[in-house]
Amino acid sequence: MTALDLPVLVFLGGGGVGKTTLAACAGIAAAQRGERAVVLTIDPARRLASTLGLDGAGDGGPADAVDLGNEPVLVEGPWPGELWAAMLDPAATLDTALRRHGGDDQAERIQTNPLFGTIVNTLSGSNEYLAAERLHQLHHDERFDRVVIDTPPARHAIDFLDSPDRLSRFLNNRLYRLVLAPRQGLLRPVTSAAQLVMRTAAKLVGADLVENVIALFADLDGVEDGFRTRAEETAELLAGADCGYVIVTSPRAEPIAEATWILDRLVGRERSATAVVVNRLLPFGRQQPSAVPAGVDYQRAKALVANWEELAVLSSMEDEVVDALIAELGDDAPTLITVTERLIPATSVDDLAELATDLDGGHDPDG
Amino acid sequence: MLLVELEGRSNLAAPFGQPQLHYESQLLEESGGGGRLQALRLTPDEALRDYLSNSGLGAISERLSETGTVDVVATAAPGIRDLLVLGKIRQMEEAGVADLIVVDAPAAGHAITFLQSAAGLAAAAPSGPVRQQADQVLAMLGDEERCRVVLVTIPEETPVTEVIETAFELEEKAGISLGPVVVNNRWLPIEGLDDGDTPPPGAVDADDLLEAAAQFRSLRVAAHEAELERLRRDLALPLVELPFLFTTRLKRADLDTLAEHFRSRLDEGLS
Repeated sequence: MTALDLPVLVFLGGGGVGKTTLAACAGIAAAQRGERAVVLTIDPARRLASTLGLDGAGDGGPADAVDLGNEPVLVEGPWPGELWAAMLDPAATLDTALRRHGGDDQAERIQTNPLFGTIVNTLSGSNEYLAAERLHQLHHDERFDRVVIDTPPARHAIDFLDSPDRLSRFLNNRLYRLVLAPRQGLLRPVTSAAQLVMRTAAKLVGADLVENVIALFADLDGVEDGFRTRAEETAELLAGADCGYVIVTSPRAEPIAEATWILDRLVGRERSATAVVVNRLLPFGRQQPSAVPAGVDYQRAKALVANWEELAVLSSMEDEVVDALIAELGDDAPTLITVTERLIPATSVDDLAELATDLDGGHDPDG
Repeated sequence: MLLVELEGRSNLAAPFGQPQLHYESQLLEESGGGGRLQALRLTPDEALRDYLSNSGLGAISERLSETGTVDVVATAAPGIRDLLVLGKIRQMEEAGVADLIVVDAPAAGHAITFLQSAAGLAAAAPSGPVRQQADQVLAMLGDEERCRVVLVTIPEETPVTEVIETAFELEEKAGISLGPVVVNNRWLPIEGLDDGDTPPPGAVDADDLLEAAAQFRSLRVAAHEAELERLRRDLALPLVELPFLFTTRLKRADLDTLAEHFRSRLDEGLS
């Protein structure tokens, strides 16, 4: 598994392509090689717990349910290494970060600011940065050799990649500094430039909201240096050689279009995909079935052929989709891995371990 | 009827033989009976520009983007972007631009934060334009005569679990009425294929392709039926089942097939 042999693997892709399942498989594959891997999901939709059978839906019933949260949980399985699973808890991650950068008093003051609570608990957009922050923590956690991160569908995954830069930009923004600067002086003189900016912002969103934002900025005073440094480190991690991007897709027009959209976004950010995984291929393409055996009655023979035709035609169309993707990716292509659909969907850790063998079978375009 | 695409990549226009959608609505198709299918793509940036010019702030919008004001406000209160999009939809609904507006909203996990953005901002902004915008959006979302959420899933374990959780969360947290749940991609049985019991995996010679394919289908049909059963049991909502189509790219005719299933289910009265 040379293509996926990196300390950090970020799984990207559209919805419904099996990204979470394959991220779990990548973690299992690492554990099978004796490594200590942690799989982190930032998907708010709890897919990882159910994929790993931690949701209490398995044989042991709800008694087996594990509340998957920020702190990694060890997943038992037949491998020499270790597999851990965690789900991003944005509030806990932020609390840790605030206490580290600002100390306990300030962390508590910030977290009682009403606007702050709203931002973290209800609104979209802030989770992406916290996921990057958590990824950085796990990457530097000595318990783990490898971090696999499963992201939400396409557009938000790109937000995740951009989030450290966006936070840096925010903290370095002239406006933020203008608004905050007067608060730092003893007499708090408000500069005319800051006044102008605040008046404009008040017209735009309302004076109350601007006041709340400024109050929050003031509470955040001092912690932003810590955040700025950490955001820069995280951005470096995501852009560096330690971090690989695995794009997951399925052999249909829409997910393939999403995959190429993500590829373009990665190229635009001067990052390249490590691997593209086409998941859920039917195994019936480009094969000729034997004749219907003698002794099968006519009705069933007819049904067998009708079924074969539907499946084989679709399967061949899927193979063509893969060929077209290989052609489109061109010479500098990332490793392409195909994963065939199993008879029964993976519902246990053993099923996942079996599925994980496909991830080892990627064919490198260079050989 | 107006279709609204939010994320800009779902390529709704492709089956109609048209290029990517834009902010300005375009006509996808006209029916003989005078029906018009229009579509547009809505992004937060464009919704913001629209909002600024409607608030008489068009002239300063350039300066706002230059100074990064928009960036700072959007980072400090991230739900603003979602609210702008919902606000634009609300405005089109009130203006009566179509009899029905269908919005292709974000996927499950983000659908909840997307739909809650208005409530979140209403709490953060006691007054002012954002509060006003948020209140108007909340009034639309909370009124089942004006707006309903149609959840879409496929009959597989994780998506079904997810849609059940999303349904409860939307009703409880966001106070939004739910319409029918669409179950897409259901594999239908072939008559005469199943001669009773499906042999377990391993019992079929993999080289016997006809039997292997038959077993594949039987297992999948049974798995889908089990997931549908779970949906019927756990959700008190009508289901609209749509068949899996054996193709890698939906064409115009495929949409007709799906629409026909949809319509016949609606004609039954969605019990």
